[in-house]
Amino acid sequence: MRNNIRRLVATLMAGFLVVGLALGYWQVVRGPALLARADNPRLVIAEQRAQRGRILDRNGVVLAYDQVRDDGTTARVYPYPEMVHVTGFYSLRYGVSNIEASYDETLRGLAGRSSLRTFTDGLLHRPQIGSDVMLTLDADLQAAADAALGDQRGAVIALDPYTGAILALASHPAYDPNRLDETWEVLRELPSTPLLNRATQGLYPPGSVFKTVTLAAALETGLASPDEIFTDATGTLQVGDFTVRCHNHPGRTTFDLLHAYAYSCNVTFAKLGLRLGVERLAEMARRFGFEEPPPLEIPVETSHLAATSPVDTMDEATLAATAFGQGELMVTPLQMALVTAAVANGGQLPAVHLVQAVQDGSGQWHEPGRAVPHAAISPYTAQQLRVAMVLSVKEGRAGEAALPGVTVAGKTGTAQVGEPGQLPHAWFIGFAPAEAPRVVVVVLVENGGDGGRVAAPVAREVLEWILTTDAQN
Amino acid sequence: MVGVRAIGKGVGLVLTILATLFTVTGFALLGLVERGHVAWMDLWPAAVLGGASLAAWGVLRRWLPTGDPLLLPIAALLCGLGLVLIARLAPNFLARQVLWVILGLGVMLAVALLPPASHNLRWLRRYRYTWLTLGLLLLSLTLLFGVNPSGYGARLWLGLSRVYFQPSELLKVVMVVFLASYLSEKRELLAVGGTRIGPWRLPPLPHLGPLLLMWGFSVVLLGWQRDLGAALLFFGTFLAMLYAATGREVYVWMGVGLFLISAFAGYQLFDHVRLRVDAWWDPWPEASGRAFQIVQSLLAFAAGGVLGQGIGQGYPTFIPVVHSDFAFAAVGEEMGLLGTLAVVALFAILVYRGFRAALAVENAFAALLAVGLSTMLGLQALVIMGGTLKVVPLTGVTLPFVSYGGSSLVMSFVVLGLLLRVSAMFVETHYAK
Repeated sequence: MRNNIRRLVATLMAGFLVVGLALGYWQVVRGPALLARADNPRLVIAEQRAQRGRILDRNGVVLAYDQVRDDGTTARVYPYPEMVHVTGFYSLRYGVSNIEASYDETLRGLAGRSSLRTFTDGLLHRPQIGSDVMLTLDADLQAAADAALGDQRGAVIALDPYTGAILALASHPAYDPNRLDETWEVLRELPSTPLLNRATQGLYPPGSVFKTVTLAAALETGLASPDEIFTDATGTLQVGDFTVRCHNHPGRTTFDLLHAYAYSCNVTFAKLGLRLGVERLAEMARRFGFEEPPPLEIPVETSHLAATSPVDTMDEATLAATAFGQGELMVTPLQMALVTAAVANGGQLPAVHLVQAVQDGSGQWHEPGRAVPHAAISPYTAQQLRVAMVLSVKEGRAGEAALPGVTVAGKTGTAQVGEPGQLPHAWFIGFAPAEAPRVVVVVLVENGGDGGRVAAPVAREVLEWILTTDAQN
Repeated sequence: MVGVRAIGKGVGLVLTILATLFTVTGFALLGLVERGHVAWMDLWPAAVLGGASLAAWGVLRRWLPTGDPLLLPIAALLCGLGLVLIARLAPNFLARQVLWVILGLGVMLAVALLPPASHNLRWLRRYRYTWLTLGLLLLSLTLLFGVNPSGYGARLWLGLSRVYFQPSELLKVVMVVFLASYLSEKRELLAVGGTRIGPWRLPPLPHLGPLLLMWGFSVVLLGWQRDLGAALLFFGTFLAMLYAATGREVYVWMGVGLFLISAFAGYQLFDHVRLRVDAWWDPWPEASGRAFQIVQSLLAFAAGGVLGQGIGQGYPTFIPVVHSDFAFAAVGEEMGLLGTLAVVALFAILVYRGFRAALAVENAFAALLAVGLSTMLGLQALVIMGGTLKVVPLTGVTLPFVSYGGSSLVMSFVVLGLLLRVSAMFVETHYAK
């Protein structure tokens, strides 16, 4: 009987060994994979208890922070809800977006922490405290841009042309990230698409503001000189079956190239486009950043010279229309801001960015690495474009953007949308002061009508705010 | 010859004090986590358990000095762990569980000491049919008048005002007693007899008959009551004792075959069996539905890692009814791999010491009794630990001494008392001559 009993003991001990091995498997080997499962309720709790880092503007104004409740859980608060298109939202139900998403690791405090620190923090149940992120935005300027745009659907971007820092980015309608969980379903269905960031993801025909790119191509390739004289007596140009029309310069029929830009003559730019050919125009657009998403910290759309068909099969009629900003062109306000910044910056395309600095675990601020600026056009071409844009404000169709005592460079656009009964999109691109640019401003008003009458005044308000604030400081 | 006196006399006291210190520390930690400071009142369950187990040690030292000194400290430690877990997971049940522990310790002493030592457990062996009839009668009463104190689920309890008792727990011990008594008398007959068919030698049916009948009756009753865990324990213990008594592997293989057939039939016939087997085989597709419990259990183990989250600092309460069936998963989350391995080791040592007593004792009935009780205790721990770890399908049995549940706790102490008694018999028979 003793031997039987010994075998029984061995069997039971083997059972305990199996349980021990299973413990090792689930608690150690498979542990991390299991804990990462979306249905692990501990993730939500850890999330609620973690104190997320703040998002600040360039002057340290708090744009997003975590409020700690009595029970130790936290709530995300956005004191400037209209900046949601940059800050993004943070929601346990709907996730994170924009800066909250792209700097999630930093804001959680996971980026750049030693594994020993992570281990001891976990062992001692220290609340996870995230690091702060400082943006290039200026909350006051942003408020001015929001006020200037008002209830109109559209976008405003203010950009430092030398550094590429975005100082203000407005997209209307916006929504309140503080109330996201309650409003999400409604927001998703609204025909006014408040969740869309019109400044970086909205694709629009640019209209006449694109003439800046066509002019740059003509000057850069030497296929036209600034003083070449153009004539448009009839306001029409026949390109195959397509009739180019221009009503932009009543009473004027003969002008040099820069004035043709200032008066925004479609016929002249259609001729320039045909003279350039599609390859040269496409090459110029690419050098300004078309056909590739700009490397911004929030989601962006790519601007295209021809959105619906390959560029190399473009026919002459479409080429002529593209040259004055119609055709199949689809651009974002951000892309037009980059084009304008290159003009203001002596031809250099700056590295556009929204994040000024990021805090590490010990509270030190670091500037994130950025792309190297590259030349889109020569300084000479940039100088000629600047003259053309100053003319456009002084004598041409962008007069509404003029400010007393400051030289403003600008260009308006009135982009036909091709849908019956819809007003055209109103555009303005420009910078000031023209001789030493401080800021680039781009305005788009969706179906706003005439660029000169609708978009230019918005830009003027923003420029005025910046220049008077600068003068006071 | 196995030396029963290999462990010194003082060890039992030191270990019981250590077990008490563990419980005191556990309750102090709970107070710190919940309120940031330790109040004396927080420690009362630890003080009661510590006092009672030290008193029990004193009683055993005086009247049963030759009993195995490891059994009581192990049980005290497991009970302490159980009290800490209940205070943490289901504080409403704490006072009742403390009462059950005290009652259990009392019953343990009574079983180990009261019947005169010279009788060599004759009181159990003699009246085996009485005990069995009593157990089965109680079980039958549950069929008629059974309730479930929580208001739903299997109705396995008999209620008397506000005290509930689970007869199947009593039946488990009674059946081991019955089998030990029967097998110790008939084991020679069972081991050799039987007709030959080819290479197989069939067991002698007339002697096996009453055994199979009794076992079958219990299993049918349990299957009817849907108490799968208890049925599994009965079956495993029955096979182990039969093997220990006869040494014939054919019984084991027949038993395993019988088990597989009934498992297959149960899977086909009963929804609740199918649900448990499915949730065990592949829980992931139904992680938020029918397999919620087991998946949450595994998540709790994973959350514990090696060191654990600390008592009161994890979230094992995401597992439904964590305080009874899933107490082990709570240990896993809050005490980590180190804690769970310690619990496994405690049970392994407990079972090993029980078998050690069986090996040392001359009396066949006592040996088989110790084998049966140790096997049952070990199987029960393995089945529930393995169940929470997805090693075997989940069956609702408690983790002995740890889980909430009065009947189970008291019966575990009865087992402990009997093992103490058997462990003392060796020395008594050898040195009292």
